[in-house]
Amino acid sequence: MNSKELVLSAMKRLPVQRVPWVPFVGCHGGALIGLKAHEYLTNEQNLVNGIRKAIHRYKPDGIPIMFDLQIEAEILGCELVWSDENPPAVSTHPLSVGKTISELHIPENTEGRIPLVTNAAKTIRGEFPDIALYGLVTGPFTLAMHLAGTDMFMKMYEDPEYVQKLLVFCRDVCLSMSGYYIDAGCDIIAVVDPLTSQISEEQFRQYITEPMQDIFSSINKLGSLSSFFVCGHAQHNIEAMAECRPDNISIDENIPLDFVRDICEQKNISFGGNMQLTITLLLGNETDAQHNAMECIQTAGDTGFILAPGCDLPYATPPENMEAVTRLVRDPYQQQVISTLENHKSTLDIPDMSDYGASDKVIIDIITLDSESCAPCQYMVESVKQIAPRFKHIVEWREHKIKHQESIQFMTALMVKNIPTICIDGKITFVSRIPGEQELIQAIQKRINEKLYHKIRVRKGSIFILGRDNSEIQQLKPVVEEAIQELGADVPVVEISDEKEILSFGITRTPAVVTATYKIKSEEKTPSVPVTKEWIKDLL
Amino acid sequence: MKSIPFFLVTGFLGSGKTTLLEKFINLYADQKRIAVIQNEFAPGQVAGLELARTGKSFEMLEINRGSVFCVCLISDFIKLLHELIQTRPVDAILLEATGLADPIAIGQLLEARNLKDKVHLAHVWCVVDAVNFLKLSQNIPRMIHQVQVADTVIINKTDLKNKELPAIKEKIKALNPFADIYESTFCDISFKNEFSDYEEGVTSRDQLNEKNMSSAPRPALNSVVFRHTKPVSRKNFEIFLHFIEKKVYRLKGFVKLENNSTVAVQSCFGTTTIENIKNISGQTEFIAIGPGIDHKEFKNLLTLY
Repeated sequence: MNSKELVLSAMKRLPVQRVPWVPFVGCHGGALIGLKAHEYLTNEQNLVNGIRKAIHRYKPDGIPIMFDLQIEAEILGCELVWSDENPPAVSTHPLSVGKTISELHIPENTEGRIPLVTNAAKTIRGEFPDIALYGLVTGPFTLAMHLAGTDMFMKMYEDPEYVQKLLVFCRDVCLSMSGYYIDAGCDIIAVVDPLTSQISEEQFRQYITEPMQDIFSSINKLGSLSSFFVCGHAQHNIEAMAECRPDNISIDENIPLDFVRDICEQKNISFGGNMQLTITLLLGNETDAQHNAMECIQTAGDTGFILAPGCDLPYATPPENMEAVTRLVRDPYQQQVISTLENHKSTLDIPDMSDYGASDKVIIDIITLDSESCAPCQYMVESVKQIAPRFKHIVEWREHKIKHQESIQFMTALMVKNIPTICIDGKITFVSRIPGEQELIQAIQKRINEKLYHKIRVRKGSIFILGRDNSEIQQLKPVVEEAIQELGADVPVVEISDEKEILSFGITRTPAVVTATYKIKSEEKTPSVPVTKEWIKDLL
Repeated sequence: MKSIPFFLVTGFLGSGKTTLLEKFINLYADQKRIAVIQNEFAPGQVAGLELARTGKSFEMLEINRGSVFCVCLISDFIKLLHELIQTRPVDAILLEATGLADPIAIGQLLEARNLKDKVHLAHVWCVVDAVNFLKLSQNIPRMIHQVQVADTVIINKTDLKNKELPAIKEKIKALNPFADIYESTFCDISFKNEFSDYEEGVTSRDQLNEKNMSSAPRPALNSVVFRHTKPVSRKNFEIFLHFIEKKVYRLKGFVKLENNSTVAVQSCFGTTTIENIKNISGQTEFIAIGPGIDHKEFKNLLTLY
């Protein structure tokens, strides 16, 4: 099943191997190629380049051609105000300054920016036949507001017939636009009507339901699928939206996803959304983006759901956040990691790990999902397994599978955020990356040296037992060990049987015992000669 | 750098937001350097001209003047605000939101990395038009939402619709039990000295805490605008209350609890009041102000158990 089939299947509530991912790249495409919103949304080549870039970076299953709800309004005489990082805004409303509805015309496919969008759609269609393309048309109510201005709100009370007439015109614009985009190769027509969130369910049914039903049934007749996009607090209208019979409803973070899921299930339509645009995608980091995506996937379930941002992506959305979502969507291991962590978060009792790693041995902890079922985890465990025997009796390793509660506690205590991770003596050392053999050896060696250094620093003294053969050593060892034990002392016993080393102690006849004490006299500075002389005197 | 207070003026189309701005400018522009941002969903330059009539000196900025109706279209705002505070010394920023704007969405933008410690959402006024509030609010949910989010609700044009006034007040109180409510004509209200009230409050709180405070400097004041659609458990709610009393200077909003009830919460320098809200099943939404508070912190507290 390719990406396009994935999206189309999810749209029809058919089984899919994974959740499809449709990043709503609008003017953000401009940011991806270093152009301002105006330069991006008014130039065919720029638009094509931005979509190409987004496809390359975000590996989407579906993508919109253009996200600009002012295309129709511009043709119909609304003046636009452009800005660097947003789609344009409508600043004048022809119907509020004397123009009549009958003077308006249905835009031709040669007018305004329509050719730009349809040509771009054809190019992208040709280059990426396996990705679902979304053609976005301005919904009738939003278009009516563009044309009439906010007088519409009062007119809905005072002159319902006028409003209905205007909405019929806007419906016809929608139908024509849908046809143009379908001809250009779009698979899905999204009717984007955010302003419907501003009216009550009663008014929605009075004014919106009928024109919308006409639009969605016509799109289906033209052989395409349809989606009803809304953003804002539209929870009160979801049921009425579903009754307009689109194939899909797409919502933003203002509406609980489970609420929409349940209604769509009843009405047998699919749904999409609702990643947080501002707090997560624009202002958050990669981890936030992955957690939010996982939350959506888990809430939505696996039938009839398309993962998408709540609305047009903010221009300055960090691409890394989007790429993190792409990785999550395409990697079942990562999904398991995030969902396991989410589920266990609530009952954590975090142990104090401040003394961790203080024992004599070097401890390597590998935090994994489960090395038996997660390939990257398996490779990471293998890399440690192979090296460990070289440090026999010095290095100990263990795997913590975060399927277990105590492993999550452990992971949280060590502040590990990614899976798999290698910690050496409690310190995060390799994150989501399998270290090379030499790299791992060096890291372990470094820790051994640190420990040795630390040991020497705190050590008050050592006892050396010297013997030319094992029998001499064995003769001394029990005596020394018993003495240490009786004193409860922490003194290391060092066995020396090498002839040269024995001689270096100035000893010729064995067995022999030597004790040594250490004191740190100076660190990170050069002492003066008189001070050093005082230290030496202590040794004489 | 001291965090700059950001004042938000909401209210439906034609309710009198610009008039309120005019009053504010008249009162403060001589003592404070004020920047005004207008973002009206109405024809062109009219509002800007009205403000110019005050003859006072203030910075005037525009965001994408025209039909801006959802959060996804206002990321320009972050850039504009950042440029403003980088290039000009301002003591306060006043935003007249569009009549259709979601105040929570606007507040969230102040949490952008480059604004977070520099600007905080200090006060939200909502101007309500006495003439059509009862009628329109039945069909325009945003009008209700704007009242819910406000610190102060101004019922304007009371001279034109006197009879409905008690009913309007009752409705507003039911929606937002903690808001200060004023009745006015031409937004003629006496401001409560928004600047010094706030500054004094912060200072006295710090003096109280002086003995317990570590030598570390206090983090910059910032605001968190929080929205969460899932219900909150009683245990998490208690943890949340405990936290806000310790760390948050001011908090106001609603929490949706697991038994499908919604409570209004107000906390002001350690004193917290909770009231059950009837007939509204809103989601969790609040605005908090405090030194170094963080969105994620709230999310963790409210979803811990």
